[in-house]
Amino acid sequence: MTPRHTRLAASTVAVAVAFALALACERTEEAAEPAADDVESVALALLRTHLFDSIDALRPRFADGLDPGVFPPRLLLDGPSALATARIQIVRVRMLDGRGLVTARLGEASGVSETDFWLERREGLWRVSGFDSTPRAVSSDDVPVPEVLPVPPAALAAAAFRDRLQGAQVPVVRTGGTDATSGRPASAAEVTFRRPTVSGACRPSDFQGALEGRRGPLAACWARHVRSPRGGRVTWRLTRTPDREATDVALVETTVLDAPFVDCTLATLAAVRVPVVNCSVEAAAVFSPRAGQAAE
Amino acid sequence: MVCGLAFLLGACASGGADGGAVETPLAALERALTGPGPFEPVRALDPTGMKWLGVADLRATGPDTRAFVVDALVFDWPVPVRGRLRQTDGVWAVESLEPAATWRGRARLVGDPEGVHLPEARSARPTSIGLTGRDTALRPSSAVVVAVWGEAQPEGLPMGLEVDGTPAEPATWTTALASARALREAVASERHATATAQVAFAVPTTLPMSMLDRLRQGALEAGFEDHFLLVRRPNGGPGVLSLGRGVPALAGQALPVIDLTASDRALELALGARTAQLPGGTERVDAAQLGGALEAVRIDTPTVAGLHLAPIDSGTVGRMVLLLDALRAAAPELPVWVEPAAARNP
Repeated sequence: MTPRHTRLAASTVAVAVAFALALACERTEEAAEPAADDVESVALALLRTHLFDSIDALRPRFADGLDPGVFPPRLLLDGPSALATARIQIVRVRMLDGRGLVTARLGEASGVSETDFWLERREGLWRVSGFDSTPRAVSSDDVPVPEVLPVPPAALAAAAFRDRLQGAQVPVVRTGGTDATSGRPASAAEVTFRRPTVSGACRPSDFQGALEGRRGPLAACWARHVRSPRGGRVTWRLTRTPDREATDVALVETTVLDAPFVDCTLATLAAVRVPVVNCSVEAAAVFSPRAGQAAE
Repeated sequence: MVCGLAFLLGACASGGADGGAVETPLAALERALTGPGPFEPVRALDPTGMKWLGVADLRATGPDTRAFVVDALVFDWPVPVRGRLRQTDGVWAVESLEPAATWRGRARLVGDPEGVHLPEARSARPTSIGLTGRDTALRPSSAVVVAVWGEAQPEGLPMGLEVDGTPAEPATWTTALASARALREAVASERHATATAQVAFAVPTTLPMSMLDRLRQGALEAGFEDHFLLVRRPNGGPGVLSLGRGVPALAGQALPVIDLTASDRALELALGARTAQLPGGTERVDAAQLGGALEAVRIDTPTVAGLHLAPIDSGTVGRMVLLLDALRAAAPELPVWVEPAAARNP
């Protein structure tokens, strides 16, 4: 073998080795892709290594229709030379509606900025599919990331509208001022019956139980219509005439000057059955607001 | 030639370096979710098979630390799991999860019919809302979720109070509620829409009504008027019941409303002068009897605007859900407003 042949052979081997190395290197990168398949790795590689690739080279890293030329991190950093010194970190990653929403912090001597962008899996690769075009200035690299989740981009937060719950609405007529609908505490009162006075063919004990049973509904009448911090007393007359099965309820006296409240009590006491015909009873109840329950 | 080889080797080395050889916090977390380690007992929570929905948040708390929230589907309910990652010698790993009692408590609430669990309602509508305040795609739900997974306390609010899946202190939980509301409003604003403040309570069936009322009162004061209850549907999945809303109306301009007063002893219905009483109260609610009583009070007034359930300050949430279920079965078309009783300690 002549020296020329030796040099040629050596050269061929070198080229083959170089080719093999290049191939191996390419395979290493290919092999690294699946390992770096999480959104954070892809976002970091984009920011730290490929940010200032040519627009054409960047295009496959972006979803169709998105211009890599206006990608905010490219505009925030001062050209390719800045990549060597810039402090680039990802401070927040959120998965939302199948997208990876990334908050990146980019620090240079001139200042620190934060910017949001999101990636979406298309044709098997994570590609940038949107970004917030207004980066935020941050005072330093070490500013804590707020614990409260920030507002998601509107494009990714449709659930709040699509799956809105449908609740029932019931009209409430408020005249006395108690108002649970406005969030103010409703007034509550204890209802105490005085011993009923009867006339006719019946005894007070005939009514005691029936009146006690109306204690709750009467308290509800108070809660619904009255907001007075003071209590009150109401007296009614209940009668049953021979020609009627129903009970007639009439107001005898009230210290609560609230017509809807009084009407409510009259309707409530109409449920009390007077057991004997030609019997009349006068029932009085005292409404005492519970401690701490008096409305403003 | 030697230089060329060195260049190639160097290029190869540098290419490998930026190719992502170092595992990121997110990759480490995603690996841990399915591998051996701290998530194994979490995965065992649901023997029917839980599913990871995704990393709802991975936040830098320092150069070598991250806090995370991962959403899981446990017994078909979105449930959050929180924890921390730490980097040691360049390797990220899960350092800790929140206390086991917390994530076990959440799982019991949605899936364990023996322990502290949500009420079950046949009439509940299906929903995608879970304890996270996000749907299964991790988007914020329309309603803010207030969950209670602990036992009721004799004094104060119950244990395990959370707003949108984040533990909340009893003293400041309404602040968290306001913040959650602001998030929905901001989302709505970005879409040029108007947000309606909605709150969904996920509370145990054994919770006293007075405790639910206290939570509802706090929500009212934070501006939430639409109240819902998250319940288990017969298949165990998430369901929602409306607690309704009282809408102010002028006298004479609204249709009449049936008044229902419920106690342990009796249910009393009233519409104008018509009344009906069902013995047994909230302990024994029979939908057929309730339907009959509703018909009886509506006999003179067939068209009504709805039913107003007067404040129930005794009994449990489970009892109230039974009553709501019976009402829904008896009169599915009837809007019902469960008025909250005034808070005991405003």
